[in-house]
Amino acid sequence: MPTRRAFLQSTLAVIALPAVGLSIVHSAIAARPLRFVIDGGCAVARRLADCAGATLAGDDVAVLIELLNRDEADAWIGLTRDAQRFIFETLARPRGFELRYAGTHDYRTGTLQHRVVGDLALIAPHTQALAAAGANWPTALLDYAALLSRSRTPGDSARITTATLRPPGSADYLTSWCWRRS
Amino acid sequence: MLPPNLTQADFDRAMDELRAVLGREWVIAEDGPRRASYRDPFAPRDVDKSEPTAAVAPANVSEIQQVLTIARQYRLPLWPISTGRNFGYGGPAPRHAGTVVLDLKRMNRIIEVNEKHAYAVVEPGVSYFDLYRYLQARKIKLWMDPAAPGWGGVMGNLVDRGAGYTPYGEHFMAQCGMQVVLADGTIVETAMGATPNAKARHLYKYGHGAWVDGIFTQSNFGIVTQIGIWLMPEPPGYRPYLVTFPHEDDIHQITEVLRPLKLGMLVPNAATTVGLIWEAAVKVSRAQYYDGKGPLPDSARKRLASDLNIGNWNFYAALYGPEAIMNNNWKVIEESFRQVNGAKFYFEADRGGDPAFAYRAQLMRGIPNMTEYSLLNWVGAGSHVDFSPISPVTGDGALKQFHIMRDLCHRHGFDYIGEFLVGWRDMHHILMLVFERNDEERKRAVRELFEALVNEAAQAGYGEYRTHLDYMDAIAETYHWNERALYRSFEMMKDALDPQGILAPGKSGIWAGRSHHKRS
Repeated sequence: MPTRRAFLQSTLAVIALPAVGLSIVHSAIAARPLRFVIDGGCAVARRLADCAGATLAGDDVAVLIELLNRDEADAWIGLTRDAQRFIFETLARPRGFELRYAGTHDYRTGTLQHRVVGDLALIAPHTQALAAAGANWPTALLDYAALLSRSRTPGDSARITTATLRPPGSADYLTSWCWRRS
Repeated sequence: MLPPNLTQADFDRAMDELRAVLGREWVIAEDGPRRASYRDPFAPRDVDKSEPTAAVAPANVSEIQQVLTIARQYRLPLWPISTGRNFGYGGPAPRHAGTVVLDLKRMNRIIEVNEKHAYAVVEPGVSYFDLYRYLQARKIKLWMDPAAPGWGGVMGNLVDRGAGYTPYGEHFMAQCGMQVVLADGTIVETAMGATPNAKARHLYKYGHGAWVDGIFTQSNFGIVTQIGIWLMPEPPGYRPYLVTFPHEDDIHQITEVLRPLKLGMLVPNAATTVGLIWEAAVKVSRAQYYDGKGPLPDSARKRLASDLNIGNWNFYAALYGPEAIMNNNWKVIEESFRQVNGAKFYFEADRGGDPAFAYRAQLMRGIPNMTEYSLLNWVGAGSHVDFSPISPVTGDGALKQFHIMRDLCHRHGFDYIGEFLVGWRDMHHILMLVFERNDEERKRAVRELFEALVNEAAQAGYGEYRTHLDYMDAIAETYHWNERALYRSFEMMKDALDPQGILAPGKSGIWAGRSHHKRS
């Protein structure tokens, strides 16, 4: 089983969209290419990109559009603020992508509350990781990316309350998601 | 939901005929993500009310004509969109369920860019990003004028009379020449384009006889398939700046100072006077400053302003031209704004790392971006609908309008998130009503607020310049002088140009079949 860094060292490039705050990490693992979209405008999400050893490759949303048009990735997994999620969704839907998993990660009440929607039985390891990982919770997206891409929405939802405080520089409301070609 | 008065069998036949013309891929009638992409995701009410029955995407004018033939035969209502991404006003959705969206995205050619005469000719599917990349790739020394989200359509925004931020910010003023397909399939070239081999098609706006281009904006009289748009020659110098002002009521003096600067063209671009929260919300969220209900209290506003080094008003504009001219103009501008107590002045170097300054500086020099979308993160999972009355460029007018809008927002439990976009003789007062997308109570509250805004603005004599799908009839009703003479004229034109009412029924409150001409 490759380490997380090795997993993502198949990274080709990261496309950071500073104006929008999206970083895109390519991963060509196995026969199921996945892409990660990470919000460069949020410290928590940026640390995930650092963890991946990602490098900058471009800076406008037109690059994202091009990738979606010509890309063969089965699924895109993201950790972004909600407006950035909406941008991705708007580009993905007309290209035939369906939402497979959705999560919200909300620090606004003081401590972190997760809410996930999807096939809860399938993504149980991911949900458990969110609960147990504390401040490192975003890594659950990387660790369980394959599961998330096989999930389905609309599905059941689950709430997980933690004692994790918002790190400095982090957005207080984040979304995680997986869109997959139908 | 089927189109009105159409049986399922007839609808199925229509779809089959459309597939034969366009190809199966470009007739989207089945449930699924592609058809769902034509909904209004920000709808402040039940999104099903404007769920399209189907969407079709022709590739060229000939296919549009064939689609129209089928639409006339079956009385299929069509809702043309270009990129359909202005979500504050309804996005790609039609006014009513049962309409077929006519998606013009496949018509995405940049037909011409003429550097000598500084214009471009584009089709409906060309976005600001597309045109910008075209100009950059060819090192063409022309600037375009994008609206704030760069994925919007150059033509779509223009024919809805949207605005940008450079000296060419009044988009419709920069339009020159238009190609339109009428409901009966006739292709019309307007103005100078109506002469064969026209040499000045995109150089002189008016041609001979009645100038009709305007009637194809914010209307449903025809399908615009090409426009000419003037572009700005790259100036020898560009210097964006920000002036902040500490007090809300400073808007009075700011506007009085600004008017002669605009009239004298010392402030040549479509400058913006941005309210505190609009300025802050691309950087921080509401929850970071206040976790209660209702508008942000004064104490939180003060902390916000202090933390981010911004004002209750934040005026963005730019200098353009040779250094000597920019320096000279700046002296006058700075001296003028110094009359406002507490004014502070910033150039680009003073605001390093400030995403709000950065995106404004990009927009004022014609670089499209998407940063303004981050405003919706103000409330976590935000949507917005915009209310946009026109204000005179007077201190009294701006202050009165600001008080009306702010007080109504607060009374309904919303923050005032607004800016004044300064045009040639007017200000577009853009009020962004940001609400939590998944909260039905907040959606109900924003609907009530919007209705209150429409009524108060109309009573005070302020008309809206543009509005969301849901409010088009309500806004149309405010233009009722002389027993609705203007709208009665629109209805006569509609019945003459589209007697079956197949094009964009209800766009801007214009409906077919209402003129006495039609009724008789």
